[in-house]
Amino acid sequence: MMSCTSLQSVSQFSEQALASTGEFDRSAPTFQHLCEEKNMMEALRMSQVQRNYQGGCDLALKADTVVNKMQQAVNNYLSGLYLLTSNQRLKYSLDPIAEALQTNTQLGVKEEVVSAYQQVLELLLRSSSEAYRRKKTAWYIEQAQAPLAKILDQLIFIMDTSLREAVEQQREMLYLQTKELSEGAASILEKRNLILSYAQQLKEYEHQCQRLDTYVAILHQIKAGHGDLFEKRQHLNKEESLETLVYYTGRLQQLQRDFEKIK
Amino acid sequence: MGQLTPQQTAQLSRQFFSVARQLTQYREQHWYSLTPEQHQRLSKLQWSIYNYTDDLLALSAVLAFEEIEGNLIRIEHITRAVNEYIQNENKVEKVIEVAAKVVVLGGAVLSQSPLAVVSTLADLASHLR
Repeated sequence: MMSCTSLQSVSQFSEQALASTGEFDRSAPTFQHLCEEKNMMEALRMSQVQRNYQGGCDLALKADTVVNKMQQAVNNYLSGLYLLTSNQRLKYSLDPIAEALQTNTQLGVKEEVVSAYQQVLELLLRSSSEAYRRKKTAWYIEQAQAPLAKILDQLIFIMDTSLREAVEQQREMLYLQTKELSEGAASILEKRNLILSYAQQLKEYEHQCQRLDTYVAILHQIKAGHGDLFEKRQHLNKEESLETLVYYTGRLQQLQRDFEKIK
Repeated sequence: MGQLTPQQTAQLSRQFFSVARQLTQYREQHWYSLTPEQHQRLSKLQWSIYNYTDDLLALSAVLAFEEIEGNLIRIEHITRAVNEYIQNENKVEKVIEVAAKVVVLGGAVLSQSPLAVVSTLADLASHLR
């Protein structure tokens, strides 16, 4: 049963990695959203009403599309790894045969004999298929390691540099816009409303940066965890060799909880 | 000049934006001595710079993707292979189900009941489809 447990560590790691990245997908800042906000700020500054604020956002849309492609590739691979290593998914049930044997009185097979056969068969089937699955899993991990690491590196770069700096630049432009509008405000009330709205938006930018930071930390953990798996791919039958993977799964769980705390 | 890397593109954006930032600082220091027209001209310049820096950051993301597009194709191939393997493994479930039907058919034949044989054969046929 040791083999079951070690593959279970891999399945838990990939399942947790998917759950953690899923949190980000639901609340992520995007280039397109930032671009539309920028257009709104500009329209407000110029006191111009526009039919929509999507103009000039083609590059932002393209950037979101490529980010999405990269996230999809990582998620699809992790889903495959999860399905491959999950016992639930690949457990063969011999119940139909046992039931068929028991219901046919003509065959004269006793219930306890059927049950014993079933147990032995299940054990044989599982151990042979598990050994094969371990071999396949090791091969997939080996093949995926280099491209996965590169995709994760670029995703980290985009989130940590491109998108994060886009949020920070917009925060500074919002400050400039608020300053310009408040200096020209006609009343104290108007000025107050502008400052209040700025404070609210500032909080939103802060949350966006926190989400990006947490997501980047998640991507780092996935990369490190998969790197660890790659190093130990030939020892997937030894539970103790995958103990460090439990650490990465735990870190991912913690990061998912951190994510949920960011409103 | 060769194509810019994603890092160089982001670096350019950072440098351009630092100009916009310095203009903000300059305007804050001289807020009341600058005329409304001067403010307007500087503001327009800052927004033009920002439009570029913003686009440069989006471009850095696109370039980052283009750098590793080949890896994306590779991981998609691997994922497809994993999924095909999983689907093939799941066929064992089907084989077991069919084997169970054969056992039932054996019982029906032994019972010498034509109705049971016909019904079990139909059931087996539906599983083999």
